[in-house]
Amino acid sequence: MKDKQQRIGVVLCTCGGSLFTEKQLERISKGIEGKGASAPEILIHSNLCSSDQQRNLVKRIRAARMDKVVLAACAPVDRERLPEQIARKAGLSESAVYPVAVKSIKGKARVQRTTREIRKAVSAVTQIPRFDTREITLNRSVLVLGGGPAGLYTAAKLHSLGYPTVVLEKQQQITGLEAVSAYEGQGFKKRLEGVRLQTGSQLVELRGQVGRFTARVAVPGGDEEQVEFGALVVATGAVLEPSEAELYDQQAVVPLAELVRETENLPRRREIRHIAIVLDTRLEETKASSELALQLAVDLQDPDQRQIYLLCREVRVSALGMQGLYDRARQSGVQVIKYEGPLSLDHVEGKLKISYRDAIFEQESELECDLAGISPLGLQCRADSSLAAILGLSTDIQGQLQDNNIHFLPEATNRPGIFVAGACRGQFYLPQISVEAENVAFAVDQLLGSGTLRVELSSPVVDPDKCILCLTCVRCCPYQAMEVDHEAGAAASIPEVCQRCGICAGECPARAITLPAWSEEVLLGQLAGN
Amino acid sequence: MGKKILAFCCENSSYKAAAAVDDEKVLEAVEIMRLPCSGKIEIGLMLKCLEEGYPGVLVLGCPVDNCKYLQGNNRAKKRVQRAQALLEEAGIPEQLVHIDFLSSVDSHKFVEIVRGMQERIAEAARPQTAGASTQE
Repeated sequence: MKDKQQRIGVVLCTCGGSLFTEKQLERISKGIEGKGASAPEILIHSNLCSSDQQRNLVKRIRAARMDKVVLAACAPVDRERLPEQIARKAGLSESAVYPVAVKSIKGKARVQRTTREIRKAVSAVTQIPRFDTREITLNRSVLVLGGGPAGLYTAAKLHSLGYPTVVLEKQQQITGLEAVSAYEGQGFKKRLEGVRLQTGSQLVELRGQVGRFTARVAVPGGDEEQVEFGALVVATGAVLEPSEAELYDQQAVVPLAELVRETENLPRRREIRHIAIVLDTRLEETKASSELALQLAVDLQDPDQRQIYLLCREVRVSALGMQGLYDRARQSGVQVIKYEGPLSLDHVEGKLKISYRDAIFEQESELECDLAGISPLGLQCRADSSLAAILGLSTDIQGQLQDNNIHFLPEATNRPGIFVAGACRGQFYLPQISVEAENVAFAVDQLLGSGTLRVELSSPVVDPDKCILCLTCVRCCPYQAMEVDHEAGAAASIPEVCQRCGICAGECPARAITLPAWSEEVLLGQLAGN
Repeated sequence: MGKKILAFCCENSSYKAAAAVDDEKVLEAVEIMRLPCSGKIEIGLMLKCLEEGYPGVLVLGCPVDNCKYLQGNNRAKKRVQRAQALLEEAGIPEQLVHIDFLSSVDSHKFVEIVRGMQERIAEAARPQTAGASTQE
């Protein structure tokens, strides 16, 4: 199985000479050459973080005619897809470049450990088979579900980027047009010219995958239509839960999205108005609502007119820019209060009284204010549970259309080619929605822009003799990357959807699935080599 | 030199945490194996490693809700539990296989986990511990 003829290279980036001394480099090189005749060729390189040196390296890899490369460099090798890019430019398949982040190896025995890690990587890369690549043609049209603000913003941006866009709206009119026009001005309608807006229509079934989706759409008159598209944007919005709607019926309690408008409606008086933003009333909420709340707080806080209080159980700032946003809120004078236990809102003498238990001071406290904005996270997309099932999307604990997972960029879902925007993922703030919608459009552009997708055929391989079609892999794949190949009578992975995590291979009860780049041979081979 | 504890580490979290560990005794005790995701670990592989004489198997994944592949750490947890059940059935101390969750900056936790594993292995090796080898 092992290809004796292959030429293995080890690229050791020395980070401008700061990573290792000459002597240490010598020791590492000796250690890598080690035993065995098939010693890898070692390229000492520098400043791989610069694009010049990346080009230079590609040349060197080509000149040395390397088949596989261990890329030992500082941290960027496991970020920003650098190994993939180098592989592509050097004419290798993606799995042929194996990154080792040597700069993160710390400690006294650093040199020795670096050598070991590189040797393991050499062993792995030697065992990893060579993969072919396949070019997939992508359908460039985009289907947007939902004619609310998020859907319209996304459609407008997609249209301006040159993508044929269809918006499906369940109701009889385009619901978001009024809100967006009020915010953006009447000129916004012009931006939608050329976008097909289809009211009274609903997606019934979705088939296919990224770049090649087919949907059945129920259209007015009881008919059905077939729509083909390359990417899907879900912007179906959210519906108020009855229990939460009752809460809003109280005077001076409004959903966060209406807080700005309601603030302007407050009668103008000399004294400072006190406004509370309340999160986490029913359950621990997500970063999206923290972001919305902080953004609102920053926008509304005005030392001469308004004092903003932000009540929450937890300040969630573990996302890009959130710490800065939090700091800005604090600096502008917003008071952040962490509470625990139940929180109640009552009207007392024309004011709103919020009672809670302060989590920092550990005592019962009260806050009087003129207006309270409650996070709309009681807003669950009731229609979405069925929509999520139709689309095969995973949801978070509140039933919103995106997993509560830090690795997801705001617009991504568990299915490549399907994006989410707006209230169905917990974003209710119009300015944020417009930004998000643009991001979604750019993500679609990045995916479909070139019209083709190059995929390495390194996704899991199923042995048809062992596969008993129990469908475990189909069910457990988080990305819906497994399907049934009826001709082979076995499960099969879809390379353009598969993320190469190996969950299916680990899960298969018949041990019929192998993830070739991480097979048992590759893993155990690394042990044998050391 | 005897075989080391095998630590199967998710390359997105614990593998990075392990790289930054600076405790020679801990590093000497453990062989770090890189996985794309803790969810890649197979029950058969865990058992095979024990069979081949490795004193213990650690599976280290990302914290809850933080798996890069969404469900990998949950899946790994279930599989480790299954492997433990199989070991128990065979009369082998189940604590020889252990799963833990840590993020890429939790190097201190990595050290603790390895030390805990060493203790567990030592405990398993002690004769006549309660509940062990009743089948023989």
